[in-house]
Amino acid sequence: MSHANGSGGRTIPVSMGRRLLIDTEEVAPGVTKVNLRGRLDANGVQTISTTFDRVARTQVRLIVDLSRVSFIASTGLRTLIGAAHSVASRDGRMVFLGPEASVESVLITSGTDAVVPIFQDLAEAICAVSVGGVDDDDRPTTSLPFSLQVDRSMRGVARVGAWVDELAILLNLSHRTEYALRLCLEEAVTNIVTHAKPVPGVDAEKVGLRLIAEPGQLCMTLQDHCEEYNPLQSGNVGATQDVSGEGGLGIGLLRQHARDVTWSRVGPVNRLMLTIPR
Amino acid sequence: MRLETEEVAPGVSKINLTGRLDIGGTQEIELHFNALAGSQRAIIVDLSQVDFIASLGLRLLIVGARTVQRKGGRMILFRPPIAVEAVLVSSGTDNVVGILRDLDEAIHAVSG
Repeated sequence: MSHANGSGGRTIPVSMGRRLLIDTEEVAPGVTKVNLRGRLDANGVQTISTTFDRVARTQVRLIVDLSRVSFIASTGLRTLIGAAHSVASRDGRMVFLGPEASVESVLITSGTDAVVPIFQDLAEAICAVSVGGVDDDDRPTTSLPFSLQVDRSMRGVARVGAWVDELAILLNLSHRTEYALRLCLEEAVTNIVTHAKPVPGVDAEKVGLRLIAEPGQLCMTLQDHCEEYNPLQSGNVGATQDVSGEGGLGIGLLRQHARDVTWSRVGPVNRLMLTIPR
Repeated sequence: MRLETEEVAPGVSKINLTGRLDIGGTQEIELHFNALAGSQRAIIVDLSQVDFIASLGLRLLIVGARTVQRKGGRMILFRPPIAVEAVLVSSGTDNVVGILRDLDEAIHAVSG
């Protein structure tokens, strides 16, 4: 690994587990790169968590170098996302560097890359986490990511309701914002559960939700792996017409409580995005 | 979600709902609610203790109202909280089943 312009050297490895190694280095003034080597599975996470959590809690410009990570499982993802929360809550920035194809694929499918950008070039990564870097005007200063995966079933819809209860407290949402969030998520997930059709051979049992809480708004993304289905086609049907359960009433309500409601097909995934003002 | 009934005037039932009319809440009460809509001719649905409603809850009320109306009866929605009323109005549900805030007026509206 290369060092940038005369900055500090590498520290000695601070945690040696059988499967995952961690060390840190300063690659630019104020910019810390955490190097992970091995498997980011449950055991691996355990061996590095003390060090990694400390780094996440103290650094505001953090590059997580995944180039030597051979495997990542959900525990590993959770640890990374937790670190992102921690850094973001202190107005910092975190990016990933150089994941190999299989790891990158996990980051993209889980939507983690929408919250923690992926770079393949160290100089670009340094730029992205530094103040005055490329993103400076675009990215909000305080954005907290939250994510949830639920079963594509009515039980999943119920779980979403419980998640909204938690978020209302965590984010100190106004009554009105909480109502809008609860309504939009209920309508959107119900629509996916009721109308989306699984693709033969593709596991479509989960709906992924990602919320990014910005100072003035909540940005919501919902994803499923079913056949191409655009829930927004149902249009805005009023109560006097829709009682048949076709979803028009629900989407109409959703549009009244959110803005920038868009649907797109991204590879094998239906992606619904919406914004709720706070 | 809780559903309780009381007779507030001869032949007039008030259905008191408490909690969230979200998917779970709606499913919990729909059997009972539909049974009442099928058997009563004058129904006041007291929404004052309902703090959430979305499309499934709206559908429950609309279908219930139509069932009552089809049998020559009447249904009224009573004292929805502001957030709930906003959804009732924006969805046009109040065109299917009216909203009132005074109990005597409501009793009068659903009777004879």
